[in-house]
Amino acid sequence: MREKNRVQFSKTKLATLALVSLLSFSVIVIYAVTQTMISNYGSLLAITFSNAGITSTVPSEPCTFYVYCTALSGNLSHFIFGTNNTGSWVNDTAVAFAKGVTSAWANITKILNSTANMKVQWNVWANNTDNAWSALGTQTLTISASSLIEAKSGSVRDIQDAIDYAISIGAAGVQIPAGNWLFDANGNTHVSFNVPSNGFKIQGMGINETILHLADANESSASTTIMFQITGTSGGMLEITGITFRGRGDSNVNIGAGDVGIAVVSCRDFRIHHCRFDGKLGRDGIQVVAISWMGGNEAFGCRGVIDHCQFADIFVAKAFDRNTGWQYGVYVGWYAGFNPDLWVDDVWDVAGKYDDLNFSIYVEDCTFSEVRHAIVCEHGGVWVFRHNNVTSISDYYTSGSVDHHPYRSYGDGSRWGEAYENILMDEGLWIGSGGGLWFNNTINSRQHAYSIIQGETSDPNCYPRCAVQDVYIWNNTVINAPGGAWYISNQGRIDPVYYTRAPSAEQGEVDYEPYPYPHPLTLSGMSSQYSNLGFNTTQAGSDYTFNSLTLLATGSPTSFSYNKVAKLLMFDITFGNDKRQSVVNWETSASAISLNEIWPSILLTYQKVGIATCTAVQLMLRGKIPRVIWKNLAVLIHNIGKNFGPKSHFFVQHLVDMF
Amino acid sequence: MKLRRIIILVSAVAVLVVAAAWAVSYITFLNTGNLLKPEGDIGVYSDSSCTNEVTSINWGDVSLGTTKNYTTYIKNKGTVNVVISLNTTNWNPSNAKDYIQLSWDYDGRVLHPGDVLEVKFFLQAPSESHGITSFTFTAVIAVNV
Repeated sequence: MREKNRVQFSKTKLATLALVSLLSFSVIVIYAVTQTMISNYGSLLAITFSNAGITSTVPSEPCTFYVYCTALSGNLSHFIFGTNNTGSWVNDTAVAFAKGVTSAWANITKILNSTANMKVQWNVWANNTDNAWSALGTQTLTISASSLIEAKSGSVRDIQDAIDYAISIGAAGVQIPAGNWLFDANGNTHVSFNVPSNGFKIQGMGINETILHLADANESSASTTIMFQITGTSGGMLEITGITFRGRGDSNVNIGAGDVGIAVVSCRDFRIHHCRFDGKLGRDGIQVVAISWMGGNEAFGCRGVIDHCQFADIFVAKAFDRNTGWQYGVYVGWYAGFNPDLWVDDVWDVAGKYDDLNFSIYVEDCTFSEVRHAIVCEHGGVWVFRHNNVTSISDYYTSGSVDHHPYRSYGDGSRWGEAYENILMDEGLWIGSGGGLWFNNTINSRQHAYSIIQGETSDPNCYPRCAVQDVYIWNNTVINAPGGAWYISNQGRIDPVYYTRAPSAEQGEVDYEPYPYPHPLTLSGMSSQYSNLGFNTTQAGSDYTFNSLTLLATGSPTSFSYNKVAKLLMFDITFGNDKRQSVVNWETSASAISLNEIWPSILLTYQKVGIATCTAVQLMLRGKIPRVIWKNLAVLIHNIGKNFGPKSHFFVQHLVDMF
Repeated sequence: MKLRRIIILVSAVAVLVVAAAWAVSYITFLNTGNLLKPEGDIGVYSDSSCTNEVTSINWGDVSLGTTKNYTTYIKNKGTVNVVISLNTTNWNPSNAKDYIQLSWDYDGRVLHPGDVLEVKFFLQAPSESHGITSFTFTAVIAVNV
């Protein structure tokens, strides 16, 4: 409340002053004071919250509510989760954080209410060790209209019909049945839709369970077919999981042609996970763009994560042409051509970030083999490539595993990329324009570890967008680089600018912190997750060593009741023709199953497996378990040896019935 | 006779003119007399056009160890030059005054009548909570003429 207090003067003093004024006829200034009062109020936050989100809006399905908590003083102590998901507000009992941490995720999984379109509110309160509490603030989600609609088959027509019907009734998405389906797409005949504002999910039954394969004989000259083309300018979340996208083989792919598994166009918070892309697709496993002529909105951008996917055998030698052949695992491009308005001027606005960015693509926990590049980016894209395993790059044309594409006559190059914690078996890192961070990678290259080459342009007006700058490289392990670890070239233009250190605020940059790993969108337990799965073979004749394989299912609720007995029968690991099989014979003694603990009966140990030659490695699970466990299953491989060979492959398969 | 009338008329006019002049002076004096009680009068606004008066500031959630700022526009609404000063009072809880600091970037310059000056207020939170979860206090801007 504002008040004014005036200083009071005595009548005598005023009379005297008035007399003096009367006599002098002059203006007289006297001392006076007023006061203006402004009330202030607020709260002190001892805990800050970031990256709050959910993993599902599907009715009657598990949904993980998550938020990243940071104690600003002391350590984190406890958090309380509250929601009205049951129809009335309930606060859970306090959950303790791990001792001695200042930052951690607060995760709670609940089975969502079965009521379609219900608005569910939730909140998280957390305290520090000084018992100072702070609140996230009320969050709201809307439960989807219904669960998934089953497609009749994996044909283009049946999938499209199921999608159209699901969207028309507000369903959460579509499920494609298991099978090796002929995906009879050709050119513009493909699956295509706009994500509704309440989000949409396409779910197969798992890698190599639901296979969509392009025709391999009925096209003499294959055009570029995009199997799934999805636009998301409504802002609805997109999720695709559990599908193998298989190309037409190399017999019908001509120079410059090729097919695409999924094109994601202007989606917000999309997630593609546990999918496989193989069979010589020839163009890209996944394209991520916001290009207007593809139906996108360039200002709206595109943002999401690709995780736990396998990209294998994309490269088609006979179709390769340096200028027209793509043959990438993941292609990232923000806009068409040049766009100085969308080009990020200050890289520190995007480094280590995701939330609030219009364009940001994360690729993590994926495997790549026989691709031209595992990831390539151009047209101003911003991306992060982390915790991936690139086992082989095509021999046909030497290029980087990770490619920051240069500025060229047809458009801007990559703007900003972060590559860290990757195992790059065959090729190193390559940059032609823009900037990025390369750190904590293990590189075993057949040529160079780091190629820094000024972009391919003679346009005198392109700088600084075509310049290689803001590049930071540190703490990588280079096992092999016969051409020399570094290849630096200015191509006769300006010298690229790079630093062999981390960025630092003291240097006028920022004290860089990676975005939380795993990406919050991957906390969903939508299908099997093979965490930390990294096979690496030794050089021929050397030993391959790891100490244990551990099967672990995590999640919440931590126990389930079923009227069927869950079993895991076998756990095979195969090195070439050398199969090592463990008979697990694990089953539930009753109909109750517990999660969040390592299942001791299926703790497996292999030691010092010798490999004589370059070898394919295969892991297979067999059994019959509840779907909810399969969704949360993780295979942890510990103590992997450190020697990597030039050619190795691994495949992960499962033959698990779900109920 | 006629001349005398003219002289009398002119004299009367002169008297009236003098009287009028005196009256004008008196009126002027009265106006001057109002200035005998000059008051510094300021307004605090959230917009540079000085239409939205600030009577309270909601600082929201302030993270420990951080500083938030709030931009105001202070206008000298009076007729004299003023300088202003800042103080705080009525803290709740009372110990909050020991840990939470309110300051501004006003540099002590003289505000002339009609002047509008952008002034930022800064609220600095302590690095530890000291048991304080929420707070209220009054900011006092003294206007010195």
